Amino acid sequence: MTLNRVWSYGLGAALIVAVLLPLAGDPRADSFPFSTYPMFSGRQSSEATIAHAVVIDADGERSALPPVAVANDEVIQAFETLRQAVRQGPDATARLCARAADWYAGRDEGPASVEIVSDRYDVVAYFEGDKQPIATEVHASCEVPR
Amino acid sequence: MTLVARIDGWWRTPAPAKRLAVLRLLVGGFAVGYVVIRAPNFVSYASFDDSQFAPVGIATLLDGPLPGLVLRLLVATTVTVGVAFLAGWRFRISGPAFAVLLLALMTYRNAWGQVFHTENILVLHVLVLGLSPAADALSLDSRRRDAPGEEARYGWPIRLMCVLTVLTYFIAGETKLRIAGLDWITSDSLRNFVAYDNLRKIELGDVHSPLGGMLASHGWLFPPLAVMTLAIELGAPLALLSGRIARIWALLAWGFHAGVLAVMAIVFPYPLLGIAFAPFFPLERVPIRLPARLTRRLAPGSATRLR
Repeated sequence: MTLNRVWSYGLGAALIVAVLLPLAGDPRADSFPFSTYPMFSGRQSSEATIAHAVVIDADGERSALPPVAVANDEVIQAFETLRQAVRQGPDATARLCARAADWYAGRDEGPASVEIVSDRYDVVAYFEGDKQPIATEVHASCEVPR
Repeated sequence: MTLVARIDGWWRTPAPAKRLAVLRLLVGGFAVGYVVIRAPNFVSYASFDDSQFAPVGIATLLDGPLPGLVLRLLVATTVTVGVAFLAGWRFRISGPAFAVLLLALMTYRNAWGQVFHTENILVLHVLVLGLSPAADALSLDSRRRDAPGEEARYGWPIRLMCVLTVLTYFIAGETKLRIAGLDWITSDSLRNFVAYDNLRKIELGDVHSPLGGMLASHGWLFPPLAVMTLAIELGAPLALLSGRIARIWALLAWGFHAGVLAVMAIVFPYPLLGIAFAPFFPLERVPIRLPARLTRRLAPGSATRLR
């Protein structure tokens, strides 16, 4: 057997086994680059809680802050960052609130505050016109520094 | 012919060096471009709270997050070595080195509580290319010598890339069945996922899909879409049976990603650009005209057009 043949089977077997190995474990246990690809794989209820950051201006107008205000340009990363902070408790949400407020400070000059909020929605009803959350919980609130 | 000989013949089907080299150019070009374009995102993890660090894969070898300077160096080194990979320069070193650097960088980006699924196949493909003779043609290493013809050593890496591609899709389908069973088809889960993901994007001030939001109120649409999704994922290994089936599957899988983009605004650039499926195609037949100056430098005695 030539060296190239041994290499072809060795590398091939190693990578194929590594890719298949997650099948033997918990399907929700994710890793990289060997994954079970569990995103959007479970059962999803029509009710869901979504943590997000909002800015409230002097007129009381509320606007969603973009992902980069709390994490980076990846919306899923921002969502996970918010979810982790909510899970970790008031200190973590206060830190995240301050970070979002700092980010906003350089973009608008008027008085404003930032909130880290969880809204519970019927997600299907939302797109049918019922845009009001079923429940809202404010985890942290902070002033935008001036 | 014995079974072992048949398997060996399938696994090591001879392929032209140029086919593997074109894959190096496509996959390497995408990888380098991706790292350059996404560099601000990769570097942004330096500003994350340390408590968010949740290492996966080889990142579990780290005691904690990398210092910002090291992260920036990792991005810069990956791009630099990636250019050598792309050009096929000192490929015995640049090939494996780029594969390891890209794996390290992508793993680190996935170590902050959110594992993305957009880069897995890319990293696996670069690993295979980096550890194979992918620079024996169309490269600085092979300049001034004719490209070798069809040989088994250029065939098995392509076969391996195809196998890894279909396995990732198969696993994604299998996971759906393991977690939710047939409920994933018969329940409202897929509709709820589409509505939830779009609403999440609205709430977080990101781009969402108005089409997905509109479709969410038509529940009857989603069971057929769920069946199609599972058929494409679980049927992926069929693509290994013949080139014709592979091309049909690649088209369907591309359509699946286009559909995900349309209804969920989720971009999988590697498959959407078709590069994830490139190993299934006889790329050496695609007429590629390299810049004349580069062609003279690479192989002045050989044809400029790939046949």
